[in-house]
Amino acid sequence: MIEQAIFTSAQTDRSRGYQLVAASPGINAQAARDLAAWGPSHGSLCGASDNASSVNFHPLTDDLWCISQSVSAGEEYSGRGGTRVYTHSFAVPAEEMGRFANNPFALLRATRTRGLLKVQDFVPSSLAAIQLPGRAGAVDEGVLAEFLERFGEERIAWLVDVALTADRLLVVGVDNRDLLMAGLIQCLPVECRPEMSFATGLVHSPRRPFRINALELDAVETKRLSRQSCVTVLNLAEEPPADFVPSGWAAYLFEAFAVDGLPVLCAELERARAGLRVSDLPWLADQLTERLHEGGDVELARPQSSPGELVQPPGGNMAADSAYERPAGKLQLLPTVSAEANLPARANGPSAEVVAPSRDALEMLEHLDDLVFDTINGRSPALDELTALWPRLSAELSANLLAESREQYLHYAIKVWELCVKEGVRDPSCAVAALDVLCILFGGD
Amino acid sequence: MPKVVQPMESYRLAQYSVQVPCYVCGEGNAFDAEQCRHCFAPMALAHQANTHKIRPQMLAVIGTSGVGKTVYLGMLLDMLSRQTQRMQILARGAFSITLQQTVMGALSRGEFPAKTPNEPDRWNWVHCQIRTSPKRDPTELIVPDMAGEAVLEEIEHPQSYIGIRRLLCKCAGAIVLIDAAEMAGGMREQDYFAMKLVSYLSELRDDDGQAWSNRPLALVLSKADRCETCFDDPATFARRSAAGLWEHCQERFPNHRFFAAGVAGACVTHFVRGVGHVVAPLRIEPQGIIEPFEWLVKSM
Repeated sequence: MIEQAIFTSAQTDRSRGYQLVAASPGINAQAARDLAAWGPSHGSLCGASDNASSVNFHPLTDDLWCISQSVSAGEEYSGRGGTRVYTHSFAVPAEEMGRFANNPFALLRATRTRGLLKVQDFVPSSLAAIQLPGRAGAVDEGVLAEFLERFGEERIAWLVDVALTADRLLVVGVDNRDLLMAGLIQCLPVECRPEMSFATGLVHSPRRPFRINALELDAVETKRLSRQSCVTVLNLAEEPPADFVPSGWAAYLFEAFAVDGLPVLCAELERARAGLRVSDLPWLADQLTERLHEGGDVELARPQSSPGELVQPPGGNMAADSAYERPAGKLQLLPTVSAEANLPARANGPSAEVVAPSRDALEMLEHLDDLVFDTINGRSPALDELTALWPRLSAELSANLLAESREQYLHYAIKVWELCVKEGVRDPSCAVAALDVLCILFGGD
Repeated sequence: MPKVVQPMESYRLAQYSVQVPCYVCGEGNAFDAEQCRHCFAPMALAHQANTHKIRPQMLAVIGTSGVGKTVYLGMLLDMLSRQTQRMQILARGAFSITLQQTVMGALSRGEFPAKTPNEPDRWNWVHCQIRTSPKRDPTELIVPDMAGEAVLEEIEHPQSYIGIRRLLCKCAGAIVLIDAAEMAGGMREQDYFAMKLVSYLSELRDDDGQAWSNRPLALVLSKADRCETCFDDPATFARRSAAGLWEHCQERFPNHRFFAAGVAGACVTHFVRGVGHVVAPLRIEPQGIIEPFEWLVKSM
């Protein structure tokens, strides 16, 4: 169920002025406080027109996300001039967000279709929680294509580069701020989207710490805000700096766009990558850039997958690498050469070696393979996931399977340990990663 | 051999290692921060207090939304800055003039100033020097113009606005505005809100553990120009129209006093295209503006 609330200026029995005038029963006291803190009050919408609006997305407590729309809604009750800011918020649990591919715009579209976003002149004191059927694909190709056409590869790379590194980014010089933010969201893997809180038309306030805020600013305000620590102002109406070189995920996007790789990019964005964080994107970008260049003339058919399912690569032997490609139904994990630190080719995981395990056990082993190899290759969230998963697997898998798994991973870790030596000095990152894995796998004994 | 002193550029970074405490909430901030990152009060208050080695006292002007806090403060500053017989006021810092400029500009255009937003970083703050007598040392005061909803939110959900809580704990006195026109019309809402405010104040303790209730409390019946008897005897008017508040003050605040004040002689509601219905003052006739402030400063 999705809870909802309305924050606006009104004269009620409890108070007068900007307040939470209505909420569904599931909005608890803490959520209500957070909504009041984030709620925009008088004069908070950019632009003085009656059509001023903002789409906002930010975290709430208790694993909830808030998606809201603030609009200009006529005169304010007190007669002091200025328009009333009316904000309709939806408190969305993680599962519901996942159904809509963590895309706030898709969810808001669904609520609008159901007529839930209409401004109510007489707001009831209580609202009902709602169920929102439907879902959204991981990538909205139309939005992405329009985003690319409107802003171009270089500006997009510049925007993404700054957005992923700045604490708080204010983007100015954009006419269609909703398209800007919708396009930016489309450029990110689904799992990373919840980390990017944003607003598309609210006056900047440190009380509303959006990670990205697309807004209108005059020259004086721009200069003033630029001087604030932790605030970066980006004027997209200008050209990127001459010495700008995209890095990390921005670099991958730039290259993907440049090689006419919109289909390739969409295919990659549709892959599920559980536990992926924004901090992992540089690592993932390296992997995908490599694949982008290796792909060459190989036509990568766009699979028709629903969100949450793994993308099935085309038939035939393809080199599996550590970037999440797992040919379904194939037990043989082909060796590959990692470009980083000359690590040994990924060995056949235990999932490839065991004989006639159950389907469930095989899936668990495949998942364990991925986590172990990813951890050894330096992806730190995989270590957390492995730490959490191993005790459960130890309890569920048979002793034989466990012993075989440990033996395989030990062989691989020893290889890594032996090979991560450069000029007589062992590369600590590789060695430590391998040790971490062994500590988990053998630590309980 | 001539001596050359070359300061290291990296020494500039050393300034960031020393935190500057916010004057309102006391939390640390970078030396070049414009606003406190915790309570959003201007850091200029701390810098100005440090330069003159004087600890300004804080004064709270609070009331429900739309009761007239902004107009009262702006008019008060404007009147005191023009006439020096009773009390001389000097603003400290350019930001202290903004409130006066905004209010008087709006009134001169025949309109009331815009509603104060809830966000503390958008409030107007006043830091001023008050001299009541040539022989006495001047008093330094800090007065913020806070949104009524924010004050109520803090009362009902403590720690929602850290700056409000810290200010109310530290302030040397308070002016509570109550809408006399609404009370005269029989609406009890003003009474309830004022009771919430004074109840909240009575429970506060300052850093030394001293009870708030010993501090001076001025209760100003605003928009009194719309009530015939309010100016004659504010205390009796309050006793009749806001009995709950009256009793509460009698019991909890030994140092309190009721006043009546008004700015606009009469108001009218008219329709402005593109804006909607707007309340406008027909004329500006300030009455009883200085008296509450004067009493409070002398009592502090």
